[in-house]
Amino acid sequence: MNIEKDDPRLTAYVLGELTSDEVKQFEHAIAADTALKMVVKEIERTQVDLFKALGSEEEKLLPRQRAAIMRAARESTGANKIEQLSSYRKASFNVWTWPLAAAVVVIASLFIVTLFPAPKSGNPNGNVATGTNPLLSDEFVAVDHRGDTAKAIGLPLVAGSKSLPQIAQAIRDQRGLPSKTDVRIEELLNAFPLDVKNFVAVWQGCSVGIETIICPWSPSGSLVFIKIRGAKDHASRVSLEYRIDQSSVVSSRLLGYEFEENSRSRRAMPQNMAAGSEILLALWVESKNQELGKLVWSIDESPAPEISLTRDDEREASADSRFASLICGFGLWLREEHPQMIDDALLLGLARQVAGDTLVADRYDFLELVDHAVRVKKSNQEK
Amino acid sequence: MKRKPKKSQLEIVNPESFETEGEMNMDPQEYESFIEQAVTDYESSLIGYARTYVYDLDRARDVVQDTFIRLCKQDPEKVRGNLKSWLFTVCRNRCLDVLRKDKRIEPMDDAGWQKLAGSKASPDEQADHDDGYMDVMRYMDRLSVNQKEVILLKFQQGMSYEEIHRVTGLTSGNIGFLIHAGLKRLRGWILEKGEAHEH
Repeated sequence: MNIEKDDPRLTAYVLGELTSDEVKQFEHAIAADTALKMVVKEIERTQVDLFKALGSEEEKLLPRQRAAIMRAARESTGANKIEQLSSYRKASFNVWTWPLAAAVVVIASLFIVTLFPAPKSGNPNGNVATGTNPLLSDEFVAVDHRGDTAKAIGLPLVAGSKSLPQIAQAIRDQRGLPSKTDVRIEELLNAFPLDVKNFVAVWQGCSVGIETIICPWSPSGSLVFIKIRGAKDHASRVSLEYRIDQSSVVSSRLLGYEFEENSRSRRAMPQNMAAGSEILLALWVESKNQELGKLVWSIDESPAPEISLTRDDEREASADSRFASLICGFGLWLREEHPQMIDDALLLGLARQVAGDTLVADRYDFLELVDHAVRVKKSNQEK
Repeated sequence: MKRKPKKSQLEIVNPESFETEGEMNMDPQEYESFIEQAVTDYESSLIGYARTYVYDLDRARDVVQDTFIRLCKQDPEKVRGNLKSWLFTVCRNRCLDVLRKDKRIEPMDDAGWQKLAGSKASPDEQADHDDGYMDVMRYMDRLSVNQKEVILLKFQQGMSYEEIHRVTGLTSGNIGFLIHAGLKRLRGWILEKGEAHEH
């Protein structure tokens, strides 16, 4: 067999890419030709150098990225297989919402929330209750503008995960909009690996990241995104509370976490965060100025420094917070809340803004879902 | 006179045989295990591969996350036999998308390669590895785009010619020639450097 010194099959031979018959032929030829032997040795040396230099790196995906992949895997297997936290949710809100309700009922109001209608009749204290059932966490928390004590919202640390597949199934498979009870904004927010890090505070291995942006459907309001991360290697007991600045805040609302009105269970709100777990929360705050209040938090009973919440109108919103605001807007749109503010045009505008960013598959998929939902709604209206 | 923009040698490969989106018949638990195992088996090699395109670890991770999320939309029975090639093909296409959006397909400077060299066990090993990695990647950038790509797939990812064919769309004969010629040029530069050190 005649083999040239520059025959690419010599490299293929060294790299084990030849058939067994070819290998035998090459072995014979190389054994009989010193020049070929030298060429093979050179190729082998280069091969060793390359393997050594390019040897496999051991970089891994971040835990949140791995979690996002596994969420996508679960969604692919169908909504019914997704972990359900509804019973947990039902139970968990009463501890802090019932006392809050009692307080709100007791302090009826003279103050009228300008953007969001509240009962006009009230007691002489001048405080306002917020709608027919103040226990619902999706109602606005009333603010006593003349009192000394700030109102506060205890912030939850858990969210379920079944809402997004249920919504997708309704829109894509059944060509309809999902029932309002299936739309859980907190679950939608936590279905994506979103980060907020305009400000990050770390305490006892846990962290709280904050980003505050102008509310896209209410420019006088703010959306406050709060990302809480548990410690990497151990579970932590986390307590987190939003204390409203009474002199500035007109109304505030934790988005999501709707619960069933008739639920009376008083199971405690879970405060434990598993190692490496995280949650993203969204507050919608209407205020007279940029001072929104503060976050008061503690880890394992150890109080952390308080975090002031202010809105910086000069700072450009991050891609993640823009996407998060689209999610919140979509959730409210599906729930038909504030339709005078959040209409089809606004929703599609938010989606277009997000589409300008470099999108990973799950976000692209969500944009398609939003678009699909608007078309389904129009088509159903035309029928 | 207007100059035609230079066409990139790298083309998106449509993984035709892998277009399998549709019904998934696997048991959900088994399916999740399949995805989890795929992530465990390939995340590091895919990140290493994506880094050689996008030159940034965070961005490489995003591309790899995206690749696995796309995997979640496939019928596992249909990709299982070609999983590695499927993942690398999709990862490569996503890298090219990212580069196209950034309008950035250019070699990186030393500082960039130094950053990419990564972390190794001891400081000595780290320094040795970094030097070797930087040298090799500098030489790689002097190769044609196709030569660089097939050599990385072969020596960094340990792929066979057949697997490289699936990922890049190049024929086995072409791959053999590109690797052979690329190695020859690399060997020449490595020897040149060695001689320069001796003097």
